[in-house]
Amino acid sequence: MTVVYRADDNNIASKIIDQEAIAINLVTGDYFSFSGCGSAIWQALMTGADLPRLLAVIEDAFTDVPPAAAQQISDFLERLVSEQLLTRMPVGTELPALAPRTGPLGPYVEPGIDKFDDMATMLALDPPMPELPAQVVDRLPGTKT
Amino acid sequence: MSVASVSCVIPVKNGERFLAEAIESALGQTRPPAEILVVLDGCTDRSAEIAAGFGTPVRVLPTREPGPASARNTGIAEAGGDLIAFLDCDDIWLPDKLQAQVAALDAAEAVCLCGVENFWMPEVEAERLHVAETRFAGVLPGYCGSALLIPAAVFARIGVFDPNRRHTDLVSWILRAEATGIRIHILPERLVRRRRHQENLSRVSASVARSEFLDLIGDRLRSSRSSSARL
Repeated sequence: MTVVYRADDNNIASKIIDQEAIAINLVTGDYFSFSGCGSAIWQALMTGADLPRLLAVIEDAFTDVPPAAAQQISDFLERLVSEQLLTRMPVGTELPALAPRTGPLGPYVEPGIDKFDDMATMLALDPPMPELPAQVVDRLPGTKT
Repeated sequence: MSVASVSCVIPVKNGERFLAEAIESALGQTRPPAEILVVLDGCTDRSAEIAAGFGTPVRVLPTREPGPASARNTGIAEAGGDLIAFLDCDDIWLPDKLQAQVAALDAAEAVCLCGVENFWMPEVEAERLHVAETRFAGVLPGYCGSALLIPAAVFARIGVFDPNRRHTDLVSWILRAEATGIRIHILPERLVRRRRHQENLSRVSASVARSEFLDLIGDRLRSSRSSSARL
């Protein structure tokens, strides 16, 4: 059984702007932009996906997908995990339905990620803080019921 | 700048719960402001009555347009001080805040921020415990309204806050100031206490706030790429 990953909604804010995914790590203040087919991968991860699903999404959305794509997407996933942008879903998590195909976006380009920390201090106070995971809300005192 | 007069602007939207404490913290400064402008942003609670009850030097006025940026801009337009300080109606200045900032602000073309520490009301104790080991529990560089001290001349030079930005008006203004060559001076010491409670604007409209910050970052990335492309 493959591992299902999902964007960490509690600690990450992200948005697709002009087909480019941008994400903020609300804990650290680092922000990220995705290049190549990285934005399409991130979009799939926003609702949850495993590696085979991601490969299927990319093969559906892009032309000229090379055999090396599977390894490149796997490496990209590892980078997202190392940046704490993803959460690992419990074993047995079902994948969401595939989004309807919107037509080829163009030739495949290896996914990439750029990390920026130049606004970390600016993003420490005014954006909303990371949200409390549901299990923490249930466990801690002082939580509204 | 030690003889400069300071106006304090407090934008308020239904802030009756904490407003008196905020005003008292401004009045209790070792270097008090010459005036405190409480700008009402569509309040339907007792905020106006509470503020008016303090008398001089507290002045109560309505915002010209709705929204936190417009309320701050109304205060800027009405302020008579050489320097303008802002205080959110749920935050607290520590007693030396203005004195330290005015002393540090030795150039007219500069903006002064200071250290800010979050504190949590009992209803959001869960959040305090959750972030206890993170940077949110320590003193943070004050990129928020209550930490700002800005010469009126700087507003005259680069303009006021963008009223279309509900959550990012301050950060976008600071980025604009930096891009214009204005020096941003940050005092590291804790001079502001920022209250976390159930009604924080960034909490009640968290998804909108996050979206607005992401748009700001998107604009910054596009602007940066456009500059690189021109080199």
